[in-house]
Order: sequence, then C-alpha cells, then structure tokens
Amino acid sequence: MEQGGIERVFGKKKTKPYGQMPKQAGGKPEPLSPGIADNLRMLRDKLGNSSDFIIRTIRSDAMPGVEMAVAYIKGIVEEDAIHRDVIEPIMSWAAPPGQSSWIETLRQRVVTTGASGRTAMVEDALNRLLDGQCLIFTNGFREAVTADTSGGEQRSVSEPNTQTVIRGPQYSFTENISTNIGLLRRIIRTADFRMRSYTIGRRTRTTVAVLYMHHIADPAVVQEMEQRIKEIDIDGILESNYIEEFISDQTYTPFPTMMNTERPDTAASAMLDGQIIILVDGSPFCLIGPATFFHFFRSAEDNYQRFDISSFLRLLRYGAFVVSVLLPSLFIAITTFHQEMLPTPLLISLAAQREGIPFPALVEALLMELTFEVLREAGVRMPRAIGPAISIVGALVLGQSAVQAGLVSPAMVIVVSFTAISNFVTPQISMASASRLIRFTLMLLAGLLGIFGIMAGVLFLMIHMTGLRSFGVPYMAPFAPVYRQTWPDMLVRQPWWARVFRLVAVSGVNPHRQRGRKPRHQKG
Amino acid sequence: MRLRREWCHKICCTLLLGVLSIAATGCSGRTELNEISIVSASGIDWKDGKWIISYQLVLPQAISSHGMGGGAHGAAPVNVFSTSGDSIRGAISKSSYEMSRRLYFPQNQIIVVSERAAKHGLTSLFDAYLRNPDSRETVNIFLTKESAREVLEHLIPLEEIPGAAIARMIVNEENNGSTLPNMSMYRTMLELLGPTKTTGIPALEISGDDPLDSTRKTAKTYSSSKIKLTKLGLIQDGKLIGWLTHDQSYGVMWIRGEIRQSTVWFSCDVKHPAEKAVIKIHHMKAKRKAIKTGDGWKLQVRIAARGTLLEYPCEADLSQPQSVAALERQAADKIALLAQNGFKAVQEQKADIVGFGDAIRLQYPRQWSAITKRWNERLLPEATMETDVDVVLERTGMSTDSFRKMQSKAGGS
Repeated sequence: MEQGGIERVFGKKKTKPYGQMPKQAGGKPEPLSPGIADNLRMLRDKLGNSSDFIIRTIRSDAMPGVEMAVAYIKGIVEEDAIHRDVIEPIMSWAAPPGQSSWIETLRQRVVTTGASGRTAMVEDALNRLLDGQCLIFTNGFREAVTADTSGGEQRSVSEPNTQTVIRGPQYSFTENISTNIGLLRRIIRTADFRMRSYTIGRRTRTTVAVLYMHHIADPAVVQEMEQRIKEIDIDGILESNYIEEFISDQTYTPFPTMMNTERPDTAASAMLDGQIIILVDGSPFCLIGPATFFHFFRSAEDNYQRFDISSFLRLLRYGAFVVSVLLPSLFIAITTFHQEMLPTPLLISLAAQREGIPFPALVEALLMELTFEVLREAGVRMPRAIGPAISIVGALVLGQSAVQAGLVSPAMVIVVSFTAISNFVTPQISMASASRLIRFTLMLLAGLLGIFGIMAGVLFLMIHMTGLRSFGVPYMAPFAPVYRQTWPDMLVRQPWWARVFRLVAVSGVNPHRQRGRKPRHQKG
Repeated sequence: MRLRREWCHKICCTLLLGVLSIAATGCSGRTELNEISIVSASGIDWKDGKWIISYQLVLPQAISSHGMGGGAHGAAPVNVFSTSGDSIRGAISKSSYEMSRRLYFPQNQIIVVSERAAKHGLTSLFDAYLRNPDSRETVNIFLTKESAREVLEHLIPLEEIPGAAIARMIVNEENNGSTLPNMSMYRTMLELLGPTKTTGIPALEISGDDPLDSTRKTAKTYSSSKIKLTKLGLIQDGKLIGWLTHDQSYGVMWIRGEIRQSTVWFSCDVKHPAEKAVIKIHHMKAKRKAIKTGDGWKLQVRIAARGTLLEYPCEADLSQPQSVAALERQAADKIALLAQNGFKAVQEQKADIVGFGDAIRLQYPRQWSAITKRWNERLLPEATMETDVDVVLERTGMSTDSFRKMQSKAGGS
C-alpha cells in the first residue's frame, strides 16, 4: 500500500527474515533408527564431526552379541560419573538379550546416576547430549537411555566481587544455575520456595529460572513475568541483562526498573519481601523485580549493622544521589545567573578563580565531566599493573596541571570530583548510571536557563518518575501512592523489632511479616 | 502507525523546545563572573546641581589568596571611581564610559551619603532603590561630613573589603555599644514613612590627616587615620535637618529601647566623683507611654535593665544588699540623665526619633491624626519626659570587694 509523507519516513518497515535460524520444534521430528551405526553417524554429522564428541562402544563378555555404545561430549560431562555410573555397571551387567523392556531395565536397574531417562527422537537426543547427558545406544532398539552426567570445570563459590559487606555472608552466586538455586534453597528451607525454569534462546538454550515465595509474592506479577519471559524469542541469552531488557516495562527511561545482585542473601531477602528472582544460567547476577526507586538505595549491609548507623548511611546515600545529579548544574546556575545568592567572600573567591579562564562555566563543567568519564572508563579496562599510573595521570596531569595552566578553575575541579565520588555511593550501578546521564542534561539546562532550567528539568524528571511502573508497581511507591506503613523503612532503617510490615506496594498479599515486639529486659 | 506518529510528535516537540530555549539565551541574564565588577560600597554626593555617584569596586585577584598567578600583595583590594549626572540612575549608566565591565550592585554592602546630598534631599535615592531589582534594601546607609568618595577610598586595616568592614563595624557597635542604630535602607524608609517621618542615620568620619588610600600606608603598625562612627544625622522628609552628638544619640537609644548590650559608668561615691563604677547592661526593656497633660504631652518611659558590674573603685561592701541597691540607684540615675539629655537634644532639633509620636498614635489615635502635622515643629518642644529607671545588678563579677577595699583591709593605707 502506498504510504504518504511522514508515514513513509517513520512508518513501519516490512520485517525481513533475519538470518538462518534453526528449525523450531514442531518441524518434522526424526526418530532414532534401530541401527546403532546409523544413529551414531547421524549424531556425528549433526555435530559437524566435532572432535570432542566421544563414542565408546561396549562389548561385554557377559552379553556377547550385544552391541552397545555410550556417546557423550567431552568437557561438559563429569567423566568420573560416566566411568563409574554408566560404563562400569553396563560392563558388569549380565542379562539375556531378548529380554522385554530392555531399555527400561537398563534405565532403572543398571545406570546408577541420579537422573536417567529415555529418548526416541533425534532432536531430543541431540539436546540432551548438548546438555551434558550421555546417551546409551543398544543395537536393535529404537530408544536410547540417557544418564545425567553433566559437570565439568566450574568456578567454585567465592566472595562477591561487586557488593561486598563487612559483616554478613561472604559468598556469591556462580555461573551454574543449579548451584545458585542450591545456595538459595539453603537459606529458605520451606516448601513455599517455588521455582519454574524455562529454556530461552534458540541457539544457546539457556536455562532461566523464576523463583518466588508462594504465599508472599503477588501471583498476578509472577504470572506477568513468566508470560513475558516465555515470549522472548532471541538468538542467545548471555547475561541476565538480556532478560531484563526484554521483560522490563516498555518505557524510554534511564531509570532501571529491576535490581540485580550477585549475593544470595540479598536475593533471599528480596524473596521474603515478595519480590521475584530471575536466575540465568551463565551469569552470577540475578534479577530482582519489581523494584521501586527506593529499593535501589538499600544495601545488604544495612540489615547487618545496627539501625542507627544504617539509617544515617541510608540518608547519606539519598543525599549523595541528589548531589551527584544536581551539584554541577547548581554550581553553573548560581555562578552564571544568580551571583547574588552567594555570600560576598565566597563570590570574591570564585571571581578571583575565574579571572583568566578562557571558557564559560558551562563549557568548563562539561569538559571536566567528560574528562572524568573518560578516566573512569579507562580505569575499568586497564590492567592492574598500570593502575597507579592512571591515578597519577588523572590527578596530577589533568587536575592539577589544568588548574595551573589556567584552563579550569579549582572550584570546578572540586565540584566535579565531589560529584563523581558521590556517584559511587549508590549501591546499585544501574541507578548510578542513570544519574550520570541525567547530570549532563541538567547541566545543559542550567547553562541555558539557570535555576529556572534546573527546576524545569527536575520537575520533568519527577513527573516522569512518578509515572513509571515496574511490573505494575508504581516506581515512587510508597510515596507516590501513599503507603504510610512502609515509610520508616524506606527512608531510614527501621529496627527489626519494629518492622512489622513488608513493603506493601510490592506484595499486597501478605503484608504482615512478624509480630512487632520491642525488646524488653527482665527487671530485677 | 498511530503509535509511530505519536512518538514522532513527542520527539519533534522536545527538539522544538530545545531549539527555542537556545534561541532564548539572549534574554536569560546569563553573565559570567569575569563580566561583572562587584561593587562593595557606593557613595552619593551632590555638587553644582549634579549627583556624583562613587563606586568602590572589589578586585578579586588582589584579595583572594587564589588569584591567578598569585595574589599581588602590593595592589589595593579595591578601586574607586565616580560618575556624575542629573539623576542617580543616569549617573550610574554613565559608568559604561569608563568601565570595561557591568557594575554589579547586589553585593553592595554600604551606601555613604554626603552631607550636601542629604541636605538636598534623598527622596530620589529611595525611589531608585525601591524600583530597581538589583539594588537591595538591606544595605547599610551612612552619612558623612566629608565627600563620600573620600570615605570610599579609605582602606581599613585588618579587613579586606572596606565596604564590608564598615557594615560589620556598625553591627559590632549596635551589638556591643549600642550608641548608634544600624540603619539599613529599608529601615530608614520605614521610619520615614512612619508616624513622625523622621529618622536618624549614623555618620562616618575620617579622623586624622593622612587618609589610608594605598596599601603602602597600611604597611605600618599604626594607622595615620581611621574611619570612625561619630554622630547621628537627623533626616526629616528626606532632608538632613540636624545632628546629634554621640552621647545624645546614646540617650535616644535608651529611650527607644534598642540597647542590646552597653556599658554605663557613673560615680559611686559622692566624695570622689571622679571615680566611676561601670556596669555592663546586657538586657533592657523600655516602655513608652504618652500622657496628655492639659494641652501638652508627656512621655513616660519605663526602663528596666539588668547588668553585671565590671569595675568598682568605691569602698562599699557589696555583700550587703543595701549597698547593691544603692549602686543600682546610682546607675539608674545616670541612665535617666542620659535619656533626658537625649530627649532635650531631640526637642531642640525638632525631630522626634524617640518614638513619642508613635506612642501617642497607639494610645490616642484620633488625636494623633489631628496633630500629626504640627507635632515636630510645635508640640514636641513643649513636651516633657518622665523617666522611671530600674536597674538590677545581677552579678558583681568575679570578686565582691573592690581592690582598694582589699588593700585597706590588708593593712595598707
């Protein structure tokens, strides 16, 4: 159909088929053939003659004339299990060949691994092979027995890299999803711990698990989340961020709507609050949703220290967030538009510093901020050996020398450094990244219109944030729709004996957590 | 399709807003710090029918220790220049003939008005101040007998910016000596629009012959000349009509009840009238009441003050309540005398700044509206004042007996 004008430019393009995708399940399924040689040849061809596809033919003295083969892919199996639980029992098995339910006997009585199954389709057999199971073929039978021997080298449970605490558990998730679920199960040992797994990604077939607490999480949210995960159709899932971007509410916003953590205790605490965890095989970072704005300022350590210091630190985090977003813009606005707001000695000091600086304040601020972002990015990628060199380069050359050369004023260096440091105070990096982006916009607005511009930007931001939703939960709850019960725990850390309510916004189902009881000592 | 169009609409609107705001930068008042010159004090003078406005500009590099290339310690921290014109704001606009930067008034701390300008009339100055957004009404206003420019050129030792230093000086005086009021522009205007349309403004004076107008002269250990607060100038209907001396102004402050902290000395022994005891008053209240006596008026002032004894040369025994009471009475007498002197001076000058008219207005409003116009000229000189002073000596300091007494006790003279 002819599309005119704007529609042509912005209209929906015809979707082209993308790439060469493997056939969906539902194409013609191929069954295994009774001949063992055919099966093995077919599998080898499908794997492209891969050199880590191992076939071990077994001839047992106890069963002459029976041809059996064990096939597995080296590297993703635990070879000891294969030797011990598959090959050895088979070799010491003596059974008459004409026995009915040969496959069933093999599966139930001979193979000694924990999980065993049977398969009759080529596609299924291939998938199981690639999952780390080993296939046992018997000549003359159309089915193969599978034994779960998946294993191989994995990273062991170690300390978390990103979210460390001084007091508290010191282990983090690993890349293996079963290990991760096991770590969580060890914390929450009731039957209400529910879990469902899906296989997402056409070529990677990654396991994605959704975990929640049965009587606490909102069933509607669980269902919505599962629905969104099921709808993902993509080449491969490498990290939990892929899932996050797919299932987040479609709003063009710099603010994150799901948290991520690599600590099991944080994940367990979130589950007890009614939030839902998504674990992705291959990444130690799990997703936590739904998340409101105030969730991003809670750190695990808040609960492991006393409530007074935790409250102070939490308030400090809110203050640091505001500083990291607003400080450069306020500085630009006040020194270029509203000099009358400064006390005279400060104004004179700033004026003295700005004499001879060639750039206007806005340009100076943007230059320094961009320089700092470059430094920060370089610091991420730099090998540890030359780490000190970067700090010397950054501090001395760029900071001190730029000031002495008269390119930037010292006050601006202070403002930029303090802003950058406050940016690191936010516990979640996704929120800190949001503040970095917003800061630039507000700086431009401040340079254009002063405090009026900042106020306009902040107003726009506030309107935007109160309209955001994270899986149906309003982003600024419990302040935007008011839930007074949970105010104390959002702003400061309520002592545990007072925290009677869960975060009602997140779980409307079971708000009472405990009987609130203030500690009392026996008198006398 | 619908969704795409809405999205495209949103993007276009945002871009349009952005473009428009860039276009609006011209009228947004954006000025860099190195495009303005900060005025810390201004002076008003009147000569040959023209207003002469002087400005004391701050040189930031010379003051701040962080000036680029090091602060030049030989340079003076301020620079003074003047412009003249037919009107005050007209003169200010002429500053662009000789200045490379825009004058920045919001940080102005004081304004010095010369006697000639005050005698000519200050109503145009007050109007200019009220109307303009960048001149603040919180500046302190001073009078001076010399030219305002000379006061602005004078440096003050120990302080960096002379304008700010003078503002701090009057605040210091109001808090510690309370002999002169701290008149800000809005307070002056409020009083001039008040019941008696009269106000008093403190005056500055350069004492000494050689004014400190360069940093070379401030390099010595003593100052050859200083800026001092001296008299109180009386302004009525926007014009200067007379002066009160320092002591008379002090008495007026007592009647007004504006003493924050002050020192009163009086003789404590009639046999040695030259020896003075000193009380520091730290708390006082004055209540003024107007009483109609026949055709005339009487002001009844009740003063209650509390103080500490600072110096005591006499020989009474202060552990006895009677001697303390006697001391309090002597202090009260001295305060009453101060108040009476102040009142008499105000009567002579025919300018009611003691709050007498205000007291009448509060008590006899209808009569006040009848006599408003005649008050300063005719009725005030015939009025009387009655004082009732009550001083409470809270503490005698850290010793009770005077040193002389201790000497005589110890077997001395």
